[in-house]
Amino acid sequence: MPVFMVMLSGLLIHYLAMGLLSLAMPKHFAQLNLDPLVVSEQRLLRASGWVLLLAGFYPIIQLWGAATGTVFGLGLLSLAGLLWIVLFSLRPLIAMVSLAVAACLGLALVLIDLFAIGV
Amino acid sequence: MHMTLPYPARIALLILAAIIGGYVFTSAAMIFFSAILPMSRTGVLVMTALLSFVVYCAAIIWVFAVRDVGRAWLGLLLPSIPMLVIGIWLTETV
Amino acid sequence: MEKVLEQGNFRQSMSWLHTWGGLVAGWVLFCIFLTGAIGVFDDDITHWMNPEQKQTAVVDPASLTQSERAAMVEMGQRYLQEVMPEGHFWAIGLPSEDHPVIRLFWQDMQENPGAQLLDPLKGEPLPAEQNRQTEGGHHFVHMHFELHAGQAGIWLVGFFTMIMLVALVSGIIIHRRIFKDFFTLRFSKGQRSWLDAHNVSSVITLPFQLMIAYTGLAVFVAVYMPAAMYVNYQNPEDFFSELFEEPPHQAETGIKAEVVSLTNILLQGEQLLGRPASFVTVEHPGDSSARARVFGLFDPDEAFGKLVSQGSGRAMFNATNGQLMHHRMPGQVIDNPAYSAQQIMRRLHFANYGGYTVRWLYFLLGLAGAVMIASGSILFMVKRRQKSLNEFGRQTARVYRGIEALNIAAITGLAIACIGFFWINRLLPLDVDIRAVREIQLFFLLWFGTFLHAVLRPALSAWREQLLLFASLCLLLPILNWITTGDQLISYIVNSDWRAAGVELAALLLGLLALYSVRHLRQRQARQQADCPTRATIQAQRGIS
Repeated sequence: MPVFMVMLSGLLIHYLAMGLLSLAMPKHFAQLNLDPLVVSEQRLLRASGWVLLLAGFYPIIQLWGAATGTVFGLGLLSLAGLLWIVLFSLRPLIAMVSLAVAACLGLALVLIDLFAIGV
Repeated sequence: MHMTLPYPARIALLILAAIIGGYVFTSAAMIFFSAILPMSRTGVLVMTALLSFVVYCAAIIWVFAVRDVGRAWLGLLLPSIPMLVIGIWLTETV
Repeated sequence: MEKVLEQGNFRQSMSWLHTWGGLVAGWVLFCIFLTGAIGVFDDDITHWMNPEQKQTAVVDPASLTQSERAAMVEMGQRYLQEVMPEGHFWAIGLPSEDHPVIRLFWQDMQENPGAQLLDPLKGEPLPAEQNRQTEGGHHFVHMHFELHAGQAGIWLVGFFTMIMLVALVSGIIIHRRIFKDFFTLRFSKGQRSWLDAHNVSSVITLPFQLMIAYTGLAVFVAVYMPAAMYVNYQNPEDFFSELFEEPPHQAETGIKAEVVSLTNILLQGEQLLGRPASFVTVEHPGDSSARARVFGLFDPDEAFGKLVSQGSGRAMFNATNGQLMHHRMPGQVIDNPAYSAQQIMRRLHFANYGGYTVRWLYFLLGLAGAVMIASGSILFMVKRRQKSLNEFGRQTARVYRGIEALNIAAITGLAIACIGFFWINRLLPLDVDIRAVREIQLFFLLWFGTFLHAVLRPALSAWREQLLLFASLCLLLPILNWITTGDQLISYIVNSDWRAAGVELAALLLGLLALYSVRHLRQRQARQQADCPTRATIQAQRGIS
C-alpha cells in the first residue's frame, strides 16, 4: 500500500479514537443535546477509544519501523485530535457523520492493507 | 539586597540572572561533566552539549521559582565556580 | 509592572513567566514557526518561483554521463579561477533535478559570499530571461533559522527558541485542567475562546512543539553551547575534524599554490565512492593548504524513513597535488552514539526523510504551533481590552496600543509579507540588478508597511483589513501567475506538475480560510455592537488610543 494510504489509515483510526474519547466525557457528550450516557456506556466508549488509539500506531510502525513510526504516529494523533476538536466544536452533527465516514474508510483501508500483505 | 532596590531593577536583575547566570551555570556544568564522564572526548562533548538545553531550561525555571535576586545569582554562581575550576583543571591535566 | 511576581505562589510566578516571556518572544516565534512551516516546501516553492529554469533546461540531470559531469566541473573551475583565483571557498554544484544547471558559490578572503549559475553545456553565465534570479523557497528557510541576519540571526533564533522551551514548560505547570479541558474549544465566547484555542493548539500538539523546539536547538548545538568545546580544543575546526575522524584542519599558510584540475579529482572521487558526485568544493583555493572535497549524490530512496542518516559518502583531496587524504563511503556511519543522537534530532527537525505525507504533517503541525503562539499573543490583549491591568502605570494605554500594533504586524502582517513574496517574485522585472536581494528587501518593506498600517488604523479595523488583504493576495495568486507567465493552475494539473499546483492550491485554501475568519470577525463585531455597546468595546474598536 502506498505510504500516503498507510498514513491516512493511521490518521483515520486516530480520528475515530479521539472522537470516542471525547464523547466518553459527559461534558462533551452533552454538546449533542442527547440524553446523557450511563456509566457503562461511557466506559465502553473510553475503552474502545484507547484501543483505537493504540491500534492507530500499528500500520504506521509496520511501515516505518518502531522509532520513526512512533514519531509519525504521535504527529498523526495530534493532527487527528485537532481536526476532531475543531469540527466537533463548530458542527457537532457533521462531526458525528465524519466519525462514521472515518470508521468506514479506516476499516476499508485496513482490509486493503491486510489483503495486500496477505496475512 | 532586594529591600533597597526598586521593583523594576529587581525584575531586571532577576531576568539577567535567568539568562546570563543560567547560561554560565549551564556552561560550567557542561565543562565539569565532560571532564569527569568516562566517554570518548568528542562523544562526551556532544552529549553534554545536547543535554545542556534541559539544564538551562531548568535553571531559568528555578530562578523564577526562587524570585529573589540575591539567592538566584548566588545559587547559580556558587556551584558554577568549583565546577569551572575542577572541570578546566581536569581537562588541562588529563 | 505587576508586583505579582514576588508575592504570589510558585504557580503564579510561572504564570508571570509564561505571560511575559511568551509575549516578548511571541512575535519572533510566530515568524520562526510560520516561515518554518512554509519552508518545509522550500524546493517546491523554488520550483514555482523559477518557471524559466525548467522550460529552458538543456540537460537531463538523471542521465548525465561521467565525462559530461567532468566537463561541467572543468567549466566551473575555469569560471571560478577567473572570478576569484584566491579566496576562502569554492563550490561547484552539478545539475540536479531541482537545478538543471551548474551552480557556483564562493567566498572571498573576508568570507563574503558570491554565486553564479552557468549553462551546463556552454559554461557561460545564464542570461536573466533563462533564469529568474530568486532565493525562492530558501528565503523562508533563511527567515526561519537566521532572520536573514547571519550569525547574529542564528543566535537570536536560538535565544527565542530557548524562551519557547521555558514557555512550554511553564505553560504545562500553570494549566490546571490539562485532561479535563483536553477537548474543550468554545467558539464565539471572546476571551474564553482565545484561551481555549491557545490550550487546545498547544496541549494536543505538545509532543510536536517540544520536539521541534528542542531539535531546532540541537541543530546548532555547537554554536549555542560551545563552552566545553573551547576548553578542550583550540578551535572548532579541530573538534570537528576529530569528530568526523578526518585529518586535522589546516589554517591558511600564505604560500601561493594553484589548484590542480578538479576533473581528475572528480573522477577519482566518483570511482572511490561508487556513485555520481553532487558537489565539488575547494577550501582555501590559491593557498598551499587548499583541500578539495567530492560529495556523493544524496539518494532519497536510500534515506527514506530512516532516522539515522546513512550518509552519501565524501572524499577529501589535497587540492594542490590531487592526492587522496581521506574518504568516507556511502552508508558508513560514524561510530559515536552521541553524534548519532544529534544527527537523529537534526533529521527529525528537517522533515525531509519521509516524502510528501511527512512534509504535510510537519506543515500542518507547524501551522498549529503558529496558531498556538498567535492565540497566546492575542489572548494577552483581549484580556486587557476588557479590563486594563495597569501594569505600566500611566503609560499602560500607550504600551497596550504598541503591543496591539506589534501583534497585528507580527501575525497578519507577516502572513501578508509571505504571500506578498510570491507576488514580488512574479512582478519584479527579470533584468533588475541583484534581483534576488531586491526580492527580499521588498519582502521586508512590505512587512514594515503592514506595521505602519497597524499603527495608524484602529486595532480591529487593522486586523480585518490585513486579513482581507491576505485573503485577496492568496486567492488572486493563480490569476497573477497566469497573467505574468502564462502558466495556470489547470495546465499545471493537466501536466501533472503537482509541485507548482500544490503551491497555488495551498494559497487558495489559506485564502478561503482567511476570508472565513474576516466574515466571522465582522459578524461578531456587529453582534457585539447590537448587544452591548460598552465602553470597552468602543475603546477596543478605536484601538484604545
